[in-house]
Amino acid sequence: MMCQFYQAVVRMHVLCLMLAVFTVTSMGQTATALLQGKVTDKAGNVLSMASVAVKGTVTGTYTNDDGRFQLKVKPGNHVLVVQFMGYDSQELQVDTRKKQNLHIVLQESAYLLNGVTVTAKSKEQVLREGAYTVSALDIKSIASSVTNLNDLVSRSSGVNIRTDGGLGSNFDLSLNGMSGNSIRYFVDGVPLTTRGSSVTMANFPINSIDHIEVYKGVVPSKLGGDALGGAVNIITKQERRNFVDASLSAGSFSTYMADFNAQVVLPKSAILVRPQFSLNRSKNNYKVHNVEVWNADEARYDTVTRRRFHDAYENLNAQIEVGVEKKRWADVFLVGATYNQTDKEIQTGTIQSIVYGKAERKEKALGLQAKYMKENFLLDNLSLNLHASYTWDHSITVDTAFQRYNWNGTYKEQSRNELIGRERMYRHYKRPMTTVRGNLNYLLNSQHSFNLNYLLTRTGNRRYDTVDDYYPYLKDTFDPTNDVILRHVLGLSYEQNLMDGRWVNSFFLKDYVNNVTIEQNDIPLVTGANDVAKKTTKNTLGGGFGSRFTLVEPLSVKLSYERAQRLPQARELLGNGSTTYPNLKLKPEQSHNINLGLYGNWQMNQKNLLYYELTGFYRKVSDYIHLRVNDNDGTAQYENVNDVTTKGLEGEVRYQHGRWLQTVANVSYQQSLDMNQFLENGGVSATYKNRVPNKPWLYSNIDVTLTGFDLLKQGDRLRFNALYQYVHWFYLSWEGYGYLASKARIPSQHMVNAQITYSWNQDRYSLTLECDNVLDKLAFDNYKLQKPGRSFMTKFRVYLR
Amino acid sequence: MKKLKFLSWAFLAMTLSLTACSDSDEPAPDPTLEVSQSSTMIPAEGGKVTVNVNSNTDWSVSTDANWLKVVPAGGNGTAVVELTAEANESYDSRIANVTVKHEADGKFLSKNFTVQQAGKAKPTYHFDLMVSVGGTTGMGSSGVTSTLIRNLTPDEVEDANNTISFKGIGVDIQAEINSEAIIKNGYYYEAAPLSNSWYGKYIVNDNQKVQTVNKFEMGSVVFKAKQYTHAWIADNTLVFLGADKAVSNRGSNKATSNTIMWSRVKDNGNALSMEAEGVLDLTTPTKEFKEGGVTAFSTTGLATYRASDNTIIYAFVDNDLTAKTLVKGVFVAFIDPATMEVKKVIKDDRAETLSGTAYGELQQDKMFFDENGDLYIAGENYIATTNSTSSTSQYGRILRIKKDATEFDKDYLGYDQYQDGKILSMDYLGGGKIAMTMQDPVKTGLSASRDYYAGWSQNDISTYYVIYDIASGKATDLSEIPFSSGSFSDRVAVVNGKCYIASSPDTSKEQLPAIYIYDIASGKLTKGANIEAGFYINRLNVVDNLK
Repeated sequence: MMCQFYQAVVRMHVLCLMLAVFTVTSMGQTATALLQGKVTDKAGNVLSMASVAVKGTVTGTYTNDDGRFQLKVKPGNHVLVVQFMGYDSQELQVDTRKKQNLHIVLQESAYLLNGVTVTAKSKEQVLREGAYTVSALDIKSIASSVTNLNDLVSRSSGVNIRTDGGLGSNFDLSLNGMSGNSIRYFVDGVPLTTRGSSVTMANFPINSIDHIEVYKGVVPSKLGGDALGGAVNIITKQERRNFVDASLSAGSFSTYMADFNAQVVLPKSAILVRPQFSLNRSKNNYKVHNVEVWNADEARYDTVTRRRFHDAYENLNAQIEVGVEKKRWADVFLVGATYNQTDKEIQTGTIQSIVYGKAERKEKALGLQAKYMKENFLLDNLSLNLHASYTWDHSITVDTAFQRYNWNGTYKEQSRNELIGRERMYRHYKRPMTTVRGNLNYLLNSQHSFNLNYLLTRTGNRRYDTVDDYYPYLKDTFDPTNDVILRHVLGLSYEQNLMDGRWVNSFFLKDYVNNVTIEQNDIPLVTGANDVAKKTTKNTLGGGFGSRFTLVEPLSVKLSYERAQRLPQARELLGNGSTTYPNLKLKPEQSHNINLGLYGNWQMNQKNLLYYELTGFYRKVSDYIHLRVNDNDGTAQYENVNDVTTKGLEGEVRYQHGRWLQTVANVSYQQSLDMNQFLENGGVSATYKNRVPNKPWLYSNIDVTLTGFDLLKQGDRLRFNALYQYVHWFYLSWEGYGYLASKARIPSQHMVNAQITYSWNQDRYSLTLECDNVLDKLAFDNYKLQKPGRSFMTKFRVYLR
Repeated sequence: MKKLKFLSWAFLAMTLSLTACSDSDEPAPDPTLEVSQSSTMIPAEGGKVTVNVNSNTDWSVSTDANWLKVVPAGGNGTAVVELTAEANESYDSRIANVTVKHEADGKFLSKNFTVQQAGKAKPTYHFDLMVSVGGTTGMGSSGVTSTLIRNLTPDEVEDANNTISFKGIGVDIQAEINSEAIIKNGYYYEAAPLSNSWYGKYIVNDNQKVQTVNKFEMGSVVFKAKQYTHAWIADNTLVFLGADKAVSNRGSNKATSNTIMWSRVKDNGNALSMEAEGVLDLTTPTKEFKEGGVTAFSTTGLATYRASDNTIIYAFVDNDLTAKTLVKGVFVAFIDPATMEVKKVIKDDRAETLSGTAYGELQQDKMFFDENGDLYIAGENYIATTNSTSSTSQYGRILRIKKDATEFDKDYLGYDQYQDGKILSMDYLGGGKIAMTMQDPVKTGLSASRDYYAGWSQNDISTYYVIYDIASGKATDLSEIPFSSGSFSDRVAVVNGKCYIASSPDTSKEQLPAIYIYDIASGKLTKGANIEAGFYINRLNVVDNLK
């Protein structure tokens, strides 16, 4: 199923490619010869997605999943250039009059893109050159060197990730200034939450990833989420052959990570078995500086440095998939199970001086899923991709200690719990989730294609508390509730390729149906809960387009737009039956997202390749859903109150010299303005058109990679990578008001990370040494929450094919 | 004394020289011109001083100051010059140079002297105006709304032409303290500021910064930020009281069942210290209201200190957890401040609940003593049609405990002529008058019905001000003040015979937020400074100037 999906993606990419990059011979053209063939490695394994191009022309294609390709060319002599990542490219003379069926064997090499006259484009580059604004990150080729996915994603332009601390800590990814619920996460087009609510980009098994797509503002309809500001789609690796991929990492703060992936095709039955397992754990006991501890003898606070003592994190993730491929009835059919377990201690509150010592969060999720894919389903050129899954997700917040901790690790008894200062709680959240995704892709011809995507998610949210198992006198102090949210998202897109691929357009419509049910056990309150429907259904429409036009190589223009929607969730619509009142009038959050960009890929000569990209973006968010709290009695209600407009500019330059130097530099600038002209009560607002505080607005990354080949022995590789990240300081609160010099701010960050990877035996073995925060700078993303100082990490990986 | 002596010697010397002159040149005496003083003073409130001019010819007087009136402007021979000044409205003293001169026939004589007027006495207090900025733009994680404090002189507050701005000025307290801090003797005090673990004492000064004077770790009694009430036993002794939140309706674990915790904090100038702490024993005297299940206290209640009989008076309400409802009525405990022993608990159900069961008297005033030492407590009744004890739709009732009494005054129930108007804050003006901040969304035209939640929120324009006369029971609207938002805010400050009221009206209707000044003696209302539009006004407080 995964495979199937992957194929669909590949199909679409191939299609885009054909239309975008190469001339596609039109159907009715005369005097053509059909060149076809197969690309394999030395061992005879087929290579899919290898590029086959005719030298000196813009004609080319990619091999399909069986390694086969077809090319329509003018009859005569041609030079074919065949390339595949990780293999030496090959040029061969072909005379169509003599031979039309080829078997091309590629030699493995240890490096990536090699500059040749006709450059085949990586998947990442293909995505970057599509109609949407998307950052694509190749993970597969550098998986040996990656220890933290968040670090990698945060290098992209327009992306900023704010973390509370070390491994497993809370983080907030912002895309062009929009963050939190506005951003949706997917794995191969299916919501990431199907793997469990605590599975995030930070703990996703790295070795299993092929690449990551980061859609900014405009999200194609094949991703069926209600994303307001963008989406991250993790594409997992699909290998054609048996392999074992295992890695082990260890580093500072008692951090250990293990990652195991394999694929076995049972010889007789041709049954495919794909196990995957990963484990991440860390004590996160890094030092925090300038914290205050009470000195009772002197009756004063002393400023000291202490180690974190309650921040351990453990995450276990396992998956197994079993199925068949290449049957008459299915290209791919896989069933599988996933299991995820996370245990996380909580060390601090929103500021460093609030210390916790007992509270923790746990999560367990078990999922069952099936995937099915069929090409030429019912019709030629119609492909079907189905996914269905059910996930039992159970998370627990444990906050039962009536203790107040300090940075000495000691505590004092108090009469309330740590996190919320109330009764003891052992709160369970059961969120069973059913997901069904169906995707139909139809290639009408080389210029037009259609895609229909349907995503159903049904999420329960049952809350109950079992603290009374431990403290019987607290029995029945918490009223369990159960909400159910059923959501259908239907997406239809139409893609066209005009002017021999110089002009690519994509149009899409999304229809969201939100059906919410809530259980209210409490006494009807002032609103008269009896009058409030326990069920509500709303229909919302969204849509957009993307367009890319190549003026002249290397200069293309891209424009995309989406009327994005985020649907209100059950709590937001229907309250919690006690302190939060329902608001059935709640509208979806809406946004006009516009991207306008220029980019180009300039092959200066054999060795020097320059890629540049400059994008301006505009986001106009309205009806942002906000919880309005009544200070008097703590009651609250969600309302559509906030309007924010974000404008920004981001630029990126990539330069590649031969195969040994790759550099990327980017700068992102954004300005978010509060567009609420009025206060909640109707009065004018002082902050109208003021910059929204507590948001980074200027940041930059410089990333340099040096690679040496065949140093100690044939087929080895030494890769050195250094990253400098800069985040400009920003104010915690509104900068227009109050005395600026004494205003709280989040200081500038200068982070330097460096790593060195040695791999040998054609990447079969690799060893990475990494040093993060080389300069040992005190860094914060959030007010006063210190991130780790200098730390070291090592990763050993074995990759047997 | 020394000055006087010197002056008299000078005078003598001058007289001598005069006689000497006349002696030497008799037929055509040279013109002479002398003044009796080289300097003189006028008090700050204004007045008249005189200076003698001794001359044998004509002269004129002039001054470089426009505030000084000189009469006459000139004369001949010896005369008295009167110098008059109105009150000096500035805090700075001012000096006028006065010149007496004779000019004729090429002869020129002139004498200078100075008149100094002291500046008016510097006030011993200022105002702190606290606003919140940014409303609620929830796009970031946190820290979007912040609280700003402006330190303002009485003049700045009273000047109707002044507009109080926060652009680049004012203290952003967001990262230091909560707006609900306790203000006393020029300092801000807080328990658990921003959920930190200490009692803190702060200065908010120069419109620039929050300065920490001292902080002291909370002991075994740990308060939650904002969830306490307080009473000053003396200028340097502060008692905090608050319910611990371990409420329960199963009494098997007494140790963690509902209690009222207290702590006593001493302020020794530059150092705070926590002197004593404990829990109130409300179990023994509470039999009368314990029927029907275990009692859980409201989060804070209200506390005050009665000096006349050295008693802390603590008002609270009772949550009946079995019925999941508040027990109707106001409870009051009388507590010995030295031992914190509960001497007596009483109950009065003529008011169904306290006005404000949470946050104590932080950022609101709910109790006061009048001149007789009688204590008035703001209570509320639930609006009948909702009849829910979790409803915020209420109207006020005022209870009284007479001086030294340990019973409610059964003969008195304040505000009982009215069935609308929830009491948000009471500021006693003296003479049996109370400035009350009231809430009623029907009255302000925001809602058609009082029954519903709509209109009762913090930022709804549903509050107004009345002057309540205790004797007649009549409430008189201060109708010139526009309706305001802010159901949890303290916008009334009383000082120096005046009551200052900040109003945060609906600025979309071309009303500006402003401070109004009610003269207590005359009952006259004038408008003071405007406040820049666009904020929520949290507090207007009188703060003593630090020495």
